[in-house]
Amino acid sequence: MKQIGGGVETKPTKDNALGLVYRKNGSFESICQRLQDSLMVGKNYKIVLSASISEKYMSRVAGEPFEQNFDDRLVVDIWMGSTVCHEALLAGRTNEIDHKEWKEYSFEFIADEAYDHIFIRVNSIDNRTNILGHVLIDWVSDIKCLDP
Amino acid sequence: MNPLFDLFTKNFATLILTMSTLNLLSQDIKIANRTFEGEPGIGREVPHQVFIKDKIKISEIIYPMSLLPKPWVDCGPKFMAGLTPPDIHSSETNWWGG
Repeated sequence: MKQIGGGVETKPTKDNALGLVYRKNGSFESICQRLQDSLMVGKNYKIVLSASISEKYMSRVAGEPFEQNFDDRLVVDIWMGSTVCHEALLAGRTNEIDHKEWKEYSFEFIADEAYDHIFIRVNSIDNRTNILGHVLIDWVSDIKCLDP
Repeated sequence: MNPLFDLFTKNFATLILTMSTLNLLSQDIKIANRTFEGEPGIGREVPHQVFIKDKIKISEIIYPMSLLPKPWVDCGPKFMAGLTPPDIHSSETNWWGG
């Protein structure tokens, strides 16, 4: 896995985005989709996504009746897998997302299996616990094959 | 030259050209619904993902997980390794993960 981006500023013109949270009890949100084709073993691939944070992102933790601002910093992981929500190959991990502007993160990875699922999740930094954080995600690219 | 071979060669070249034109030879892997557009806010039933940016409360514009555009799926509450999940089947906890 190689991060080759790391914060090129982008400016999506629309307002919609996906928000993923990480809670202080260690639970986190994540999404997955089955790819239309499988990765080819040994091939080098590239994927790009844009990420940002909101100044304020109110959400809840079960058992606590009040909303809280999920303002701790997180990273975003992109995994490849063989089944739904499966973490098999870490294709990319962003730096800490601490910017309110959209920035593009670009990763290269080599497929070690013929994975056919992509799984995107947020993660805590250095396995920190007892945090409440969020990341906004948008503009996920196709997975580009870099090999001929 | 063998006319059969000549016919095969011409047709094969045409096939390759057509496939190339149609991008059928690309080894890129398509991802569906790469941007999270649609009808945000509709159907939200829980006070989740209230999104405030630039001092304007725009809670209607974040994409609720319940409205993820297919084929994206919400993996539901997942937990860090080593942590014991609470009862995530409770109706009070199954949305925001314990």
